[in-house]
Amino acid sequence: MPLLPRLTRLWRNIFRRDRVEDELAEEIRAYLDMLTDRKVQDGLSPERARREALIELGGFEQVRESVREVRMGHHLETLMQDLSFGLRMLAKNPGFSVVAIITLALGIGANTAMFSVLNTYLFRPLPYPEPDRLVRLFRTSPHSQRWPHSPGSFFDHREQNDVFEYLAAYNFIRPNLVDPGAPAERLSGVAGTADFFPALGVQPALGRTFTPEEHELGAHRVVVLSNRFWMSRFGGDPDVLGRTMRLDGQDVTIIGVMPAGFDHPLLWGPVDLWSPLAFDAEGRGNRNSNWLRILGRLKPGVTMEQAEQAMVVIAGNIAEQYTQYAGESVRLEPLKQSMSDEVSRKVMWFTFGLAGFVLLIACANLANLQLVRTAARAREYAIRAALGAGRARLLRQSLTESLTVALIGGALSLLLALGSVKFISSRLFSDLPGAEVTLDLSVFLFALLVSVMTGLIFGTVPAWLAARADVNQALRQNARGTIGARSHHGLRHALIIGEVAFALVLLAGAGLFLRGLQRFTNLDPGWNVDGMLTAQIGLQGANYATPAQRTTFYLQLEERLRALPGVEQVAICGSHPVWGFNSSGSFRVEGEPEPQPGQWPEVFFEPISPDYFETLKARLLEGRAFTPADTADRPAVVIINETMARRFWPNQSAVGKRIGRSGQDPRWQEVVGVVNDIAFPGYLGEPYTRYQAFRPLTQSSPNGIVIALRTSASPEALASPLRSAVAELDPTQPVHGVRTARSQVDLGIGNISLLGTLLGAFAALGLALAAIGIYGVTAYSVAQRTNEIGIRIALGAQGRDVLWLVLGKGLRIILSGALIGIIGAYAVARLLIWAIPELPTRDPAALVALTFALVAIALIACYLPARRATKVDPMIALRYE
Amino acid sequence: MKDKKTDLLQGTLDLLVLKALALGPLHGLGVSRRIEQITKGTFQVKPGSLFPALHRMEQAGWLASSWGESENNRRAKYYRLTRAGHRQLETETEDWQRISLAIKSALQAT
Repeated sequence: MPLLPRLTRLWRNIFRRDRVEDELAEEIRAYLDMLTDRKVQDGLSPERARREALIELGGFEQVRESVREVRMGHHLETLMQDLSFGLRMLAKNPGFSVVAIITLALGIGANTAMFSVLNTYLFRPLPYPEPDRLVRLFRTSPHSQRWPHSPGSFFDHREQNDVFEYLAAYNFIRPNLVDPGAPAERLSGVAGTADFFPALGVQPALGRTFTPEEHELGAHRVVVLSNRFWMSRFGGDPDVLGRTMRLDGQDVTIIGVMPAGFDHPLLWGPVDLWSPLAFDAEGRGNRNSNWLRILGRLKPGVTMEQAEQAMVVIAGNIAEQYTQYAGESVRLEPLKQSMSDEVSRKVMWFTFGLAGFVLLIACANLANLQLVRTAARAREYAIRAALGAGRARLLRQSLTESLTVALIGGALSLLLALGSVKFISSRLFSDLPGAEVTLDLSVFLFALLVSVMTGLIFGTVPAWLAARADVNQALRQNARGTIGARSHHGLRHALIIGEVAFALVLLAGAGLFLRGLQRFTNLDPGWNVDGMLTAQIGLQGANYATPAQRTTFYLQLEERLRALPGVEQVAICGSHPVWGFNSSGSFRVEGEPEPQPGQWPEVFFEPISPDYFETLKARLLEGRAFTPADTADRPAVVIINETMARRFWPNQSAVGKRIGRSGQDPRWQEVVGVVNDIAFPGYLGEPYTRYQAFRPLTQSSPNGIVIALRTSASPEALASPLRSAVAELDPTQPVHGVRTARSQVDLGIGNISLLGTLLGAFAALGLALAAIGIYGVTAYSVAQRTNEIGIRIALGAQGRDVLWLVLGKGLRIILSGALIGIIGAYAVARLLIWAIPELPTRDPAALVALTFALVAIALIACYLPARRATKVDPMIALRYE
Repeated sequence: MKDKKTDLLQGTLDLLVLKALALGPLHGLGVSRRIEQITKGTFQVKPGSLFPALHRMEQAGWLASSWGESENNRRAKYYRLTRAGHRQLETETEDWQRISLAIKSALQAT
């Protein structure tokens, strides 16, 4: 039938159903009448004729039903029937409905919330065209897979490859913005080579991006602003193009503004502007400084494996030509992957996985609930079957009911998820504006999918049982449906065993993680975190081009800071001891043979002022600290950490020994002291190397320094005096990141802590659900056995005999579940150790304790209804039918 | 005979209904009797199979229905073949003949 008549008919079948049914009835009645007439004509009496006609018809309703089945829109009709019936059933049993919907909302909600977190941070594609063609290029050596590159190496790779459409190098910059009359401000930005914007492939919202010529040193004083910075600093002024800003002592012209979202803070961090990464001829050929990051867009049709192979070959050629690259290669990684730090990523997945267990427990509870209801509704199903409902129909109706509950629960869960992601957003990555967790279409679809699956899971059980019901037996039963219930005991017990096992896994995961986190924060880092204020300065500009100029500044700064009231010690160093040291290099030991290329041990080189160890309250174990006498023109000295001393000079003092660099001139440095290991309490990843070597600030003068002030008063109070002291010295150099060391630690592990809290919440939820499930099943079982218990009591059983009767069974089930759960818990523990090695999660005592706790709670949930059993009055029980 | 019930595959029933209506419109009972007639009593289609078939074929566009008066001045629903129905009859007849030839030769093979 062509389309329009089909639709008309469908419409008629659904919305003019009464008329359609009437017509059908009339048609069949007409048939019946005509058949009767014929039979009368054949000679039968009217009554006989009618009766025979009816028999030949085969049942008025059956014929009507058979026509209905082939009617267009039939499936939709039955679906709506099932739906309305399901809703009415739910309304009739508000207790069950509310419990089921809330249980589901919580279970699905936990998963939806976690999914939206993962979606925002891990799944969502980057806001650039064809984002999976964007890759990062890393230099690799046996020590690391994520090295930066030298300019010479970058340009070689760019010229010699034919697999990349665009290859760009970039670097993160922190320019100082100086507005006349306003305090200096430190901005964040990215400086990229000519291919940077073309590789990302997004057009500017205003103005233009850089031309290739603007990447020459001298012509590079132009910037492109990010949308956020343009709005906050210039109020979205469309005339911003052509204006200048004073960055790092130079005037730069604004030539463009990028659209919102381009700066994607999750990938780039906060970005205010982009500038061209410019080189002169000498800079282009530098192969000794490795500071560039490289990204590229693959040519169409080139796979990442092909590109990687091609780049490895090029790297090999370069290594042959320039011996400093011996033992090194390159590798590619999708740009998106390089975005999240590994620890956060693993913890997110871990939390997400455990959220699934909560849902499983909820499903098990619901399946149990459904089993109870099915037993009670056995008669209803039997009657339906007798009226002609096929097995498929019964199944479908049962599933529709379950799906209705699940979908309502799912809708509710979205509300829950909305609330919880607001909470999560405000705490997770809270220092990144524009990086909030948001609910989008995929989250909604996820919730829908999970709801449907859940409905199918816990709906299949009773549906399958309903379809198997023996009609006669069911009809003969009394309303309590005792016979049907008995056969489901095994299934119910299996569900409880499953719940207990899942709950134990949840508890283990959350408990070990939280405990590990707590132990991590209590670990002695080798220095005193409290009572310390820290800040950062990045010296820029012509006044600080030479190490000598910078050293002068640092010495003057140190003096001023020491003079501040309340300050006990002042230290200036190269990196933040909360996060880790940021400068490392390879070294060799004097007197030992030179290591093979690629076998050089790596050590952190940290420049420090003389009072560093006193400020941090670390312990000098041997030798001496640095003094003002260790200046640039004196012999090079280092202080090394305990681990390094023990490793390289095991049975002797390391003081007086020397270490050197690779290359022709080893530039020996003499070890003058040994200090205890410095740990990084804000960083959960594995440190790059366990060896630490400290050098005097005067002998290695970095551009960026960290200031640390030790005080026994409140560190926060020193913040303004610190800022003023720096401003007095040089107002064009802003100080930023002024925080106490303790709050830095909190920031560092803040994300992980939040996920740990979520884990804890999930574990508590799962435990509560499991306990409720056990309580419910035991209570039901007791109610079922009221007769039996009554008889036993009448025959002389004591209260504690009855108690043991009920509890004994429960105990067996709980212990079976706990046994299975322990295996799962052990697996989860190993998983945690693998995922976050730095977290001290190895804790068998905790595992045992958690198991006991779970069994105890489960037993209490069992005990409460069991106690009621002992109070059964035999007279009432025996009458109880 | 009257009580002989032979199972009809749905496709065969369709073919018989189409053939029965080939000469002119009929109501439900009429179709049933015509089929009994043209199959020389072999197939007696019960209303439980006939009515779904008629309605299904009407939905498929091979039949059209209208209400009219029957022999005894009763209101009855009459079915007739549409043009598509005529074409369908031809197609199904050809198919059936092909199939029956094939089965015949299969049964004759040793």
